[in-house]
Amino acid sequence: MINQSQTLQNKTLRALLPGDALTGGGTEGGKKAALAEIDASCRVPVLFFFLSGLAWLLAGTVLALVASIKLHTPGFLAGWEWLTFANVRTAHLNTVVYGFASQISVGVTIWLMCRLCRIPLVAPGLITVANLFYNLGVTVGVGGILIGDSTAIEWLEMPRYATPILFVSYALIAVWTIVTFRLRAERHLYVSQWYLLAAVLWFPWLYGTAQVMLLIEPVRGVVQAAVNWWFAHNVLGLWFTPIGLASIYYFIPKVIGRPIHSYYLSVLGFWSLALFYNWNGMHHLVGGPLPAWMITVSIVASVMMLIPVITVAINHHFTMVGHFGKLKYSPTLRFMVFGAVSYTLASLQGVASAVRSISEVTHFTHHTIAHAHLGMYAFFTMVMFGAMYYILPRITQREWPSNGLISLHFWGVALGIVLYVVPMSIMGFIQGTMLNDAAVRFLDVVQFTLPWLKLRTLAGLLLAAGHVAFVINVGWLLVRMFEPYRKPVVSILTGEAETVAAAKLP
Amino acid sequence: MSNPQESPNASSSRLDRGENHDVTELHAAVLREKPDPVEGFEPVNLWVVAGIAGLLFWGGSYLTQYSGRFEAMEFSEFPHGKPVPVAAVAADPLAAVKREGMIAYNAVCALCHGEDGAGKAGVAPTLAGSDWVNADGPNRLLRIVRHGLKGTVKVNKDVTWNPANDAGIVMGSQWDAIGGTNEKLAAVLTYIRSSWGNTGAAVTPQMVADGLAPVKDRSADANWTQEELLQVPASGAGAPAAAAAAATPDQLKAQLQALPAEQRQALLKELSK
Amino acid sequence: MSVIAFILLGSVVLLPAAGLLALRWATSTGQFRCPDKAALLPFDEVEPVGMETDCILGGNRR
Repeated sequence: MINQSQTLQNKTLRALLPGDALTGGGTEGGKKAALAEIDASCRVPVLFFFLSGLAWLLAGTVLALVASIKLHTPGFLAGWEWLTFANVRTAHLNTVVYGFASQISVGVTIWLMCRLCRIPLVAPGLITVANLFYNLGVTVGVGGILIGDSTAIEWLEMPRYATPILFVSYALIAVWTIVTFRLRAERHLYVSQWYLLAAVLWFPWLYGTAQVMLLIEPVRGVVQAAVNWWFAHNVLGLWFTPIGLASIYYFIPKVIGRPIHSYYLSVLGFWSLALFYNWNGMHHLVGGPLPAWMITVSIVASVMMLIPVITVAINHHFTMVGHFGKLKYSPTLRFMVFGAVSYTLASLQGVASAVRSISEVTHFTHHTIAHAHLGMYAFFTMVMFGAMYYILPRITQREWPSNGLISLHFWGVALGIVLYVVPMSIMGFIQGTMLNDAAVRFLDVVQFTLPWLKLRTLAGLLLAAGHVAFVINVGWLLVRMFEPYRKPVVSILTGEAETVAAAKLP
Repeated sequence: MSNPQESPNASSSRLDRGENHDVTELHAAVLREKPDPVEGFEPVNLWVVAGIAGLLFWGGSYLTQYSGRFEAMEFSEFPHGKPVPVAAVAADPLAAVKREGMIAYNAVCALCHGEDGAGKAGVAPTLAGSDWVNADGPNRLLRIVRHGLKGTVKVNKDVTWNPANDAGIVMGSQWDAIGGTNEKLAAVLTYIRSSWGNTGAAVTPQMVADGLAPVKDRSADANWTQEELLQVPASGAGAPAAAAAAATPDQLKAQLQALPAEQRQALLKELSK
Repeated sequence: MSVIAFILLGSVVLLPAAGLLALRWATSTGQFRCPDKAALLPFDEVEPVGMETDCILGGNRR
């Protein structure tokens, strides 16, 4: 019975696939598609996601710089009421989280899913349309924040009229990603697929629950704070982290041509992350008026995160051993390894500052902000940059135009983020000890932070330079895409894949 | 399409990279990987397993210790105050009682009398080194907490802790605020009488019960005055007895001096035994 | 509020159940059975194990 209906369902779904992609007979998934065919099917939607994501990255960078400058020079742009610190900082968070990071995530997810399922993308046109609506949603949301319509709920500041557009377009994307998975030609799942599928399903659950419990039918009292932090922490932990890890698990073996060190460890890492991460959010409320057990459970779960983090770290390190020389030649590997190391560091820092005695010092200081950027930027964004360096030449069938710009991008953002995170972590800790000392005047604490905040603006400028270099390189790549195909100067693809490219494109 | 080797113009669009290298070189990467056939199914290291077991054990014990018995209304991970080091407990058998008293004192009494017991001029008299607090027994103190106190109070002869204005600040009954049981009151008084350099003896719940027995019908709104309280003996069963009413050193001295000379000598002799 | 509460309570039951079902599905379809095969999934005949991809920088390298 069940088998029959499943077969029927699969037949209906398979009718959606283009042409002869799945003409294979008996096996459920059908014939495996060639890499070039898969890449070509992803070209339009993934390019759309990457390009709009990068546009939001530039917007987010500008907003971040404005916010950073305002913290040490309050008079900066003070005459424009829609650019007050509260608006700019909030708009920065929402552009980079929903505009940049989420869109790049979806692009990478789609491409990885197709590659690992070994079939072309189902309904690329629909996904592209959904992407356009998603961008409309982000534009409305960020615009709403700038004109003062923020809901003032952290990570959910977008006004209520923006969220349905986001949710529906996201649902469309997610549904077609899952349909692609359902029709896969490869029965066995790679660990990356576990992470991607989980992330695709977890995110609407998080976002939907938080919307219902905080905006549509708000719960009362401290439960609001509990739901808010459950959501905000899980967006990082159950949406961005799994996609980042899925990318690392795919790209490091792929670039160095060597399978992952231990598949057992990767399975253990996935299931322990699924078990523990969801409980972590309440450690943001240490010292708050919540029942002691909620916070204690959260602290224990945060410390338990050492299990997935250390298994992942061991796995990636032992996969890389003996191949570190390759960092010199592959931009993807550089960004991936930087991200993987940052993931370990960010998690260890997070575990430490979840503990009550350390949270007493670091809470409400710049230490938390440094930690957020270590996780969101040094880990996740770097991994996404690495993935784009691998994916873009393959879907456009063109080589990266400038190695110099690649180096400028890497060193700009790598130095920038180190210069951001390290001093801010130290400064936040000192700031926390000063705030806890009743003998120190509050104004002295503020004045102590000023030189460090200027240093942060400098770090932000370095990041911005890196972003501009990357965007120029991507733009150049696109220009090349519309030029007649020429032999690349330096190749990254295998000869075979590119022969197909040469035959396909004029 | 999908198999490029069959394509006739495959060689013509080969990349420079491919042209420059011979077959051996192309396969060098493959050959180098051969000594590592176990990759991908490396078993989990035992140290990792041991580490995970250790973490889980820690998690369980932390959860048991600091979860406030999983009660919805328990907001502190230390429901009985911060734990006192073992050595201190061994040295002071009353540590638990004093801790309980401290929690109630800091939550209720400290608002006026201060966490250091120093009091506030014009609001509440000092408790540190006060003759009222260090009296032989707790009978007056427990009455003050039970029914409150109004009017002028003279502490340690010289310092008058008068209310700041004519309207007067009255100390109401704190009985309900500290928990409304003899045990709580005993704990608070024990804490006050043993802190900030005070030297009063500990107060037991039985002493509280005995001390309050004569006034059990008194309304909680009927605040005591200094004059009324001085009629009450500081220690003992607490029944007002005119002869033994004086308890402060001043009054004892005055009474002593009021006695006939021989009687005074005999009394002093007897006391000095 | 009560409808919302039912939805939330329902999801509290359904989500762990979904997780457990996924775990059961994975074991029953042998996803954990041959890790040697699973670890090789990113590779295929065109880009086999041992083939390095993405050598862009440094110019004269292989």
